[in-house]
Amino acid sequence: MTERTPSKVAVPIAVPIAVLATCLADALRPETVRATCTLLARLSSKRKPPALPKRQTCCGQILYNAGDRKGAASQALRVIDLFEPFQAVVVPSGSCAGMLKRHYPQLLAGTPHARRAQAFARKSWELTEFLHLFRPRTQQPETQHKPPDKSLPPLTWHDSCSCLRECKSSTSCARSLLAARGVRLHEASEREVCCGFGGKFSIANSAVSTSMADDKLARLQQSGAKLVASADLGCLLHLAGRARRRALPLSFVHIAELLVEQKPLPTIGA
Amino acid sequence: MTSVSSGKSFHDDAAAALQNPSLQAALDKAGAGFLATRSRAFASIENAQALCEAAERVRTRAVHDMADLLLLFEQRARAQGVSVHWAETAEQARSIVLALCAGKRRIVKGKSMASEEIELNEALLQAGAEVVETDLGEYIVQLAEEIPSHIIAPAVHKTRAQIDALFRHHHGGRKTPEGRVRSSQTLVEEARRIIRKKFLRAEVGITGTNMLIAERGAALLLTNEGNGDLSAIMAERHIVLAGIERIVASEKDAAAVLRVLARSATGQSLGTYVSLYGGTGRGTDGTEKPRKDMHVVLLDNGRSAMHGGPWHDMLRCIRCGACLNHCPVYTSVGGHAYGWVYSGPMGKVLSPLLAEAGTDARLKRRVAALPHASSFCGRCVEVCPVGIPLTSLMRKLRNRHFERPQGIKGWKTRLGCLGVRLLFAHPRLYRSLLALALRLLKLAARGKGHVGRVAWLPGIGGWTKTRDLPVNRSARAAITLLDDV
Amino acid sequence: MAISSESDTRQNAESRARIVARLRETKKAKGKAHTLSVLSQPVLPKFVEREQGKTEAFVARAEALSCRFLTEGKTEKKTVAKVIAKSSVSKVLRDFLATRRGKKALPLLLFDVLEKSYWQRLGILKNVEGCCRPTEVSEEVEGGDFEATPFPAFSLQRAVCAIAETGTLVFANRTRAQALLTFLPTVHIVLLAERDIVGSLEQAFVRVPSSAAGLWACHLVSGPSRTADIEQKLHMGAHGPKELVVLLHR
Repeated sequence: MTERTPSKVAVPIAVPIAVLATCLADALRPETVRATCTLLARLSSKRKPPALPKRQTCCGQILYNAGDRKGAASQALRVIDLFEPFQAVVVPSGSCAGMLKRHYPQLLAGTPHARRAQAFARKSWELTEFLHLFRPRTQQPETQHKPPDKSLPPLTWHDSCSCLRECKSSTSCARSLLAARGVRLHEASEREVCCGFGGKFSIANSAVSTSMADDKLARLQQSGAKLVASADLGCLLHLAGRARRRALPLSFVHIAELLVEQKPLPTIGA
Repeated sequence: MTSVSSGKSFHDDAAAALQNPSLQAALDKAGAGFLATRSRAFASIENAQALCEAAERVRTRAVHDMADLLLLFEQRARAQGVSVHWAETAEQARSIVLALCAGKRRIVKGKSMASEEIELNEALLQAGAEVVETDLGEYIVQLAEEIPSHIIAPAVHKTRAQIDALFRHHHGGRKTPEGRVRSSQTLVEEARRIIRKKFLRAEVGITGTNMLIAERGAALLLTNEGNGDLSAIMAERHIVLAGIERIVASEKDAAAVLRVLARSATGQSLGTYVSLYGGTGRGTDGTEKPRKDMHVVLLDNGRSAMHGGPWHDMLRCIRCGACLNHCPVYTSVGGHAYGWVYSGPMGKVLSPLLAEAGTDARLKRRVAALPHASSFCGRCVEVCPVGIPLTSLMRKLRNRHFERPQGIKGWKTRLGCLGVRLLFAHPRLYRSLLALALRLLKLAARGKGHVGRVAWLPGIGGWTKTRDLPVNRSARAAITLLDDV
Repeated sequence: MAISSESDTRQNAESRARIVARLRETKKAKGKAHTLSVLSQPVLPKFVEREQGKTEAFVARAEALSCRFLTEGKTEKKTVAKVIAKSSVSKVLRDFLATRRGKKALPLLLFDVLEKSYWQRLGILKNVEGCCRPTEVSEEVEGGDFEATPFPAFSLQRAVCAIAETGTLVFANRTRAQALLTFLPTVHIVLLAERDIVGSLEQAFVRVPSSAAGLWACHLVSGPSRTADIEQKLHMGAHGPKELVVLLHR
């Protein structure tokens, strides 16, 4: 697997960008969406918040994975229609970004919208990829080493499978953003193994999904961390829900909320 | 022997497997080893990617030209005195083999997934023959009256203690003190001794094959134990059971596949024994009567129906087992939960497709849901040496289910999707229902002891059974909330 | 045999026709006929291309696979020492067998009857007397012949070539008797000429004669027989030889 870290460094951006909130964050974790918007506003020259189109619902992955290809394709088209006017679409989730970047072109291949889907895929970004690529000069790791943030509990990073395999650069982007934030990661072992979320899988195959979560939680705890950050809310809700049920001393946070540097740090399910 | 599984669904069997301590112990032991050896094997060659691509090209072309290559294989093999039999169905394959074994009683078998697929042992036993599996793992599984739980390591689900008990029960002999499990070395020795006798007296040897080499008219057999070879050599009749997609064009092509096969399977650079069989062992002067005869049974059983269609890519599979070893679902529950001989990601695709070609309605129902048992983590795709898009194939199978729903679950999914489609088409309706749902969720989360989380929720019982649901405390969706600011 | 009856043959032809038809119908045939091998140039691991000292590479890999090379000296580590003069093969073999002399009856040393004159010329058959019982195996051999000695101790066989890429010995067996030598004994002793070490799998396959030229079966052997089927613990001598001993000569 090749990991490409975008190396281009841009001046503060002035292009119209939009946020696809993702259905999970929209419904269950508005804090993540807010943090995403705040982070993107900080990048803009006039601190202008990104657009958050009101008619958005979901990227359609739920239909796609359930086997409803047709439904997913029409939802893809709806999302493209809604977000096409913007220069960039930023998604605070590797899995939804993967859907936009990898699966929309496949879903719409052979239709009159194939080209649009490809163009749309090129301007869709997973949040950490975007933040890393357009990070301000002051955050260049080579120009400034931020002192370690002592207020944070020991922290580890959970790579979601879609970040690892569908948005391949985000796993290194996230790490470099965290480093710039002054976070020293306690890396867990077997990071490339799935946590067992998988959308509908976590409900339909509850037992297996839970066992995978337990394996993952064990490895996260072994790292010595007390706080787990990730770029995918699905994994976080799943792991946090399981950790809560088992009363494990672990808390969970979406990277957007961690990067905003709000105090006290809001964690999921706290 | 083929007691497939106890439960009626992957879901039930998987849950049972997770509660089975000895199975879990065995799986834990197996897990890391496979991964470490494979990654070492590939790390030691600088151009691993190029080797995989070459193997993929070879397989792609072989599958594309399957018809021509099979005919060439048949022609060459026949010229060398090998009989070639074509079997469209499992039943036909069984009857061909039974006819070849008529009047013979002592049969030894090398490892063959195709023979498991057609449930050959059962048929041979019914016909009154004595069938001995000779691959140690298969032998253990046969004694336990089970099916393999892994295509490469059939008895990976068994602990040493269980194997010791099995051997004691079946081999008789003196008893050792209670609670003392014999070493694996001793167990291997014992199996060697017992199976060697079977080899020496065998009348028919049945093996599978890793590849049929068209140009040479030969069957390639890869083993580590040498049992496949002893099966092929010792008996006067050698029957090779081969899925039609095992074909490759030439030895050169076979070499390209071999380079990634053992590396992916066990981390070896080749595998201890790679043998080509494609003759009858005529005397050197050519006049002597052949001392052996060889038969190749080409098994279709649903494969040709996959050709050229949406599942075409699956025919490329070289049965290395890497996708099993790297699958978090497989390594949690083992192979038996999959309900049939093929397990793991490749089984999730192959089993439903092959079962469709057969007549076993129960099996068809049992394996139909397999493509749904994936979190789509995609690690199988990453490790597949011949680039089979396993997750895409599973998605396509799910899509087919959606188009042609079966059973209550199928219809539930379909109706659910249609409902979701409706909501997505009407964002305002979506917003109002979401607002309502969030308010209800907040109410549900007010119960004592679990503020801020939901411990039980109808509809997503699968989630709340084992996990809390962290709730949105503001009870308002992000879109509406941020819009107000 | 029932299978050769008229109706079965017809059924076979019909099945073949239907399977082939299904495969042809769906084949998205584009372009012209292919050459038989899809790879015009084999794709080799980089190290194969790089390795000049084939002998060294072969010996290292074979040893990693638990092959044992017999040397003239006692415990020589260097590869050079593992290549012995052809004239000393007989003596080295005798010395090895002498260390393995059984306590009661002399152990069997199987060899192929067709190779008898070759082994005689090397002086081996005479030289090893007293250490073991050279026993010729002919094509008439049956499994039942070994029931009294199900685990013959030694066999002696010539390799047609060896592969540096994988540390593999290659046997082109013309008869079943020859194949027995590869798989039946506890210790498989192999004679290999240094000039027969080739670089890659492909080069080895070229050296394997065709069936028309009298080949019955070809065996690529990488180390002694092994299994890890019980709790993934590796053991030598699953069904085939427990030891693979190589006499590598100039």
